[in-house]
Amino acid sequence: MRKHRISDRDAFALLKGRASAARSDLAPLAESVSKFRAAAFTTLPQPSAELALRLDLSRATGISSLIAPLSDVGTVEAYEPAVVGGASPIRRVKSMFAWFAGLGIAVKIVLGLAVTAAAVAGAGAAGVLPPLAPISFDTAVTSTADPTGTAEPTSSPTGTPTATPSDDPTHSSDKSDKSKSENELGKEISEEAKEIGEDAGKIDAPDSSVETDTKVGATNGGVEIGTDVKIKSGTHTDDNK
Amino acid sequence: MAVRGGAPGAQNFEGTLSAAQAGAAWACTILWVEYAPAVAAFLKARGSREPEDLTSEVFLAVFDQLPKFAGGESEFRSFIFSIAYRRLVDELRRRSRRGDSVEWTADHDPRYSPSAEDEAFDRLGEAAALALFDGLPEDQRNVMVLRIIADLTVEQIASIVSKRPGAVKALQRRALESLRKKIQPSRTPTGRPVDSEE
Repeated sequence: MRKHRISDRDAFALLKGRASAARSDLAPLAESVSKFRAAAFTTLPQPSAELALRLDLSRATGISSLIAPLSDVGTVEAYEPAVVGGASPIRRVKSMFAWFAGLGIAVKIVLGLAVTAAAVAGAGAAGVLPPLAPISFDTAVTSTADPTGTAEPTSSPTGTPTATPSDDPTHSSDKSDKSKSENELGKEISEEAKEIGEDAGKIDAPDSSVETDTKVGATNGGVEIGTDVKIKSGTHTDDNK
Repeated sequence: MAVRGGAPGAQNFEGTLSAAQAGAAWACTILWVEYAPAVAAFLKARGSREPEDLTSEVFLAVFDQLPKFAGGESEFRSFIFSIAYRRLVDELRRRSRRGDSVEWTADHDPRYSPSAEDEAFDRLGEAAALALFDGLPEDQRNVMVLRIIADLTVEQIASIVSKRPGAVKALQRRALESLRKKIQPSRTPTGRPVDSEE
């Protein structure tokens, strides 16, 4: 009867769901153990909410495929997620571009104009504009203005008097005086402009007269207005008289 | 390592364990995926009412105590099942104190009459397989389930159930002999019982 006793070796095989060929009488028991083992194991259990907070469940799917690459890396740092705090310059540029792309069209236009104006003003202030640029700017301003200097309206476009000074009989003589003085001043300016044009071809550094024009243009929109200061002061003097 | 679906090798395990001890979620996930099925199977086979919930409790305790753990894969396996065993004992004690109440489910409703097909499935299927150890004394069932499902050694089980290895070995042998009689009643030789031969 001793042959029916389950030895340690038989027990070890049975617990694995096997039975040796010499103990075929244990085959049904080995099969039952194997079925028990198969029935007990199910799919991966659903973690509780508290446990799920400590897991990266996005990696749980197909985790078996993640096991193989683990052999290549043994340190903790190698599996740390990507650096969160220190963004690379490329990443910063990308985020800036994404931010700008998200803006509305009106905001984009305003931003573009502001940046352009700031760039022009900065270039002018730094004196890095090309030497001929201020002259071209002056030419453009004078061409849009009335060359005779009589463009200053004395009445409304309909001819009806709108202001007391325009109805003043003395105002016409003042206007003719003013036209004369403006013509004389225009000649002076053109002569100065010629000199500036000649100097601009020679000098790299900005000329002092050009600086003056640029300065006035930046404040009031053109060279003429700078000269108007003198004219108006004379006019006012006449008016005061 | 006998966890179904395979498990990381020694080097992989050490890296994963180190990362889990540092609190890396990805490493905890790998440990969960690799060991949770076995823990749930052990709890289910030993009669836990909510094996999935209890498995989550076990792993929360494992992750809490992980920084203090030292050892290899075999020790870690024993570490997990020692926690699982204690949690299972706690549940069984709670149930014995409060009475064995069962949450209502449609399957357990006595008014529900299963079809012949369902009955056949239950009899031949999972329930029948899991009923293999029904009728065994509790300490024998513990040893058998820990041996078969958790793949622990006699010494590891002795440490978990607080018995000597020799006692665990004897429990295992008696359980196997009882199972053999249960499965092959007609083929079991009559006469003196096997244990009496000693």
